[in-house]
Amino acid sequence: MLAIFKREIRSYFLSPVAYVFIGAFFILAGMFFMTGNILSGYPNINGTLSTMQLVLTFITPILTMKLLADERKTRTDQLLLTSPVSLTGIVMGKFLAALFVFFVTVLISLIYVVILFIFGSPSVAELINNYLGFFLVGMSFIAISIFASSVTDSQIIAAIVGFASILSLWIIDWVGGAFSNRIISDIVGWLSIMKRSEDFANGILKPASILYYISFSAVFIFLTIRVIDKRRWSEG
Amino acid sequence: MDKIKAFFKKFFTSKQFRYGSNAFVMTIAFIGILFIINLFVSNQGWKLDISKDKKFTLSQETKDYLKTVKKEVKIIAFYDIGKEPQDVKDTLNDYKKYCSALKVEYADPDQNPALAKKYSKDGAAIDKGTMVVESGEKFRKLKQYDMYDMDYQTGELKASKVEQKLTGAISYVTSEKDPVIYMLGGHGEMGLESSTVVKTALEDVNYTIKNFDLVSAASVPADADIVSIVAPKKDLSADEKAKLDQYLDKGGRMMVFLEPFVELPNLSETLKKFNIGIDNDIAIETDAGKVVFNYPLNLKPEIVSSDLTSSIASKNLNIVFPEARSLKELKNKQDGLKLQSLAKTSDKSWGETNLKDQSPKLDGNDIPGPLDLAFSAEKNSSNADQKTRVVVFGDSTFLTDEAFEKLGAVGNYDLFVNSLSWLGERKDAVVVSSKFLSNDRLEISTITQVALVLVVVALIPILAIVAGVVIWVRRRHL
Repeated sequence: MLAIFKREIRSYFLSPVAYVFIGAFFILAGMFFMTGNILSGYPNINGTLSTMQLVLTFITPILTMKLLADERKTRTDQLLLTSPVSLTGIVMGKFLAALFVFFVTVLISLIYVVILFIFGSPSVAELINNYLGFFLVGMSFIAISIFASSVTDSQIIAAIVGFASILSLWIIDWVGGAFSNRIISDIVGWLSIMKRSEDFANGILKPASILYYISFSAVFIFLTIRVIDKRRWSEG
Repeated sequence: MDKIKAFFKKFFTSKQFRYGSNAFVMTIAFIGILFIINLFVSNQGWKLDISKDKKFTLSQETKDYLKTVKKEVKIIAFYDIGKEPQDVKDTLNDYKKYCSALKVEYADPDQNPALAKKYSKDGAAIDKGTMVVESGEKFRKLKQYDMYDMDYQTGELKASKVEQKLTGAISYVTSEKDPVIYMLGGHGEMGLESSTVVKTALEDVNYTIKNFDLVSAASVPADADIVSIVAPKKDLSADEKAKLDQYLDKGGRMMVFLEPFVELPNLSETLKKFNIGIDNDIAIETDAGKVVFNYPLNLKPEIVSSDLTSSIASKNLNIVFPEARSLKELKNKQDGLKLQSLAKTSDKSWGETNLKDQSPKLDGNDIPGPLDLAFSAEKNSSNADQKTRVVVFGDSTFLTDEAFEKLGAVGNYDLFVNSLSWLGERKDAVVVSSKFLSNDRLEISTITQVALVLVVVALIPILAIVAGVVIWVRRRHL
């Protein structure tokens, strides 16, 4: 797993992918931070981070599209599968590598926090909570778009499927809200990635939500493993 | 037939099926177990309020009160289905947690117009975001904008009164009888109804307001729980004074608010029996920490801890007396009188008696500080069951909406409501303060703003892109 993780990290930072991701993130985050904090004087980061969740919808697939689709295209997946690394190790290594790039991005964005602390006095606990929620949402997006990368051998299709999958998470929210049925809206609300993130933005920490994001990611990692595993025995 | 049999046999024993069904069962089991664990943890309802203002945590006052509620209460929150804000849901769940007699329902006014109609007197639609608190025949409707203090210029949320309103409404709908406060008229008094702060405060602790005058009435109405005199412009007549004294002698309760420089010999005479004297002055404060907006008349007195003020003094609320006259304790001997000063100005203040003074300072007949601005007094009455109680404020503008909004005198609400509770001897009246949401701002000068914008909008993304391009170019030439 560690070998895969290292290989992917190298590949991210020696190719333009990580820089495109980080660059795209900060072009948009910078604008939201400018209007939402610097110019308005609002001292908390939660608004900017909530908006950035929408941005993550578009840019997370960039990060993950190559991970599994490209292995299949270049036929290196056969090599990988016959290597001593377990299938779970392969997928986890790739997932963690993408998560690491996202983590680095989040770390860089702490520049914003420094700015907030220089010119105001935000609450540290609230900031940590806001960032925790943002990171967990990002992690869920990465997990779902890794799954997208496993179902195809084309990077472009992987990116589009990933984007569509994340977008559907938003759409489910809207559709669920349109149903005038309490049971449906309750179920959708409970399953919703976005609705749970509101608590983090408001300053409420719910252990159930942390567990939900981790479970959500685990399910898509698991499904990714199943998809590759299926290919192994059905194509063999 | 055999062919079909053979096909199924082949299918069920095939590698695809064996692997496939294995994988399928595994997937279902994996998701199922995670689902159950999540459901379990969700149902625990664990949550931690780490917001700066603790705005999602119920106050001790509400928790203690809710435990005493035994009568069945229902709260109906009107929202579009699925659009109930999480914080509202959480708050209502907390209420339920502390009160077993409480039921919470959510209703969509569009889907359930009959229900919505039941609670609107004029048949108008119920706005979304409205909550109705109901018990038996009584109900109170809480509109969304009543539950929040907004700065309408900036659209900023200043305080949340959700808890204050909900708790007040529960206490209203469960109370058997609503106490009545009578407002004396006929002397150019300020109508208390003109002040939204007072009106809502009275509503929050379930007082019904009625007006009366002592000229036509033979005596103070029998159902009066409290008589209130707010900013009279002229004095009571001897006849009126006699009727008022009679009421007080029988264990009456009175609340008086005065304005500077209005001469009130008869009313003063009544207050003298409680050893409360009225100075003919206006209080001026020069201690910058004891005024708001650096204006010497906007007094921010020290609140003296007493039965009436104990819950306020510890909260460090902003209580402002704009334009007050000073009161003083008289030294006459009175049996069984308990006199308590409620608010005091600093040593650096004085009562200015000469309005024509161009540069006011402590001179002539002026009264040196510290000054008393409010008193509470309790005295034996002819009624063995009930003592006489009065609360006197040397200020009346402190109840106006201007004081509340422009001077930020939000603690005035608490002082007023506590006075009502003390006068009415109502232990059940729950006083829940508004939750103030901090409105800190970043302090950035325009030049710094420009610099910061350049950093976050240009510099950081450019650095990332340059790093990418450099790596890409170098790798290309490998």
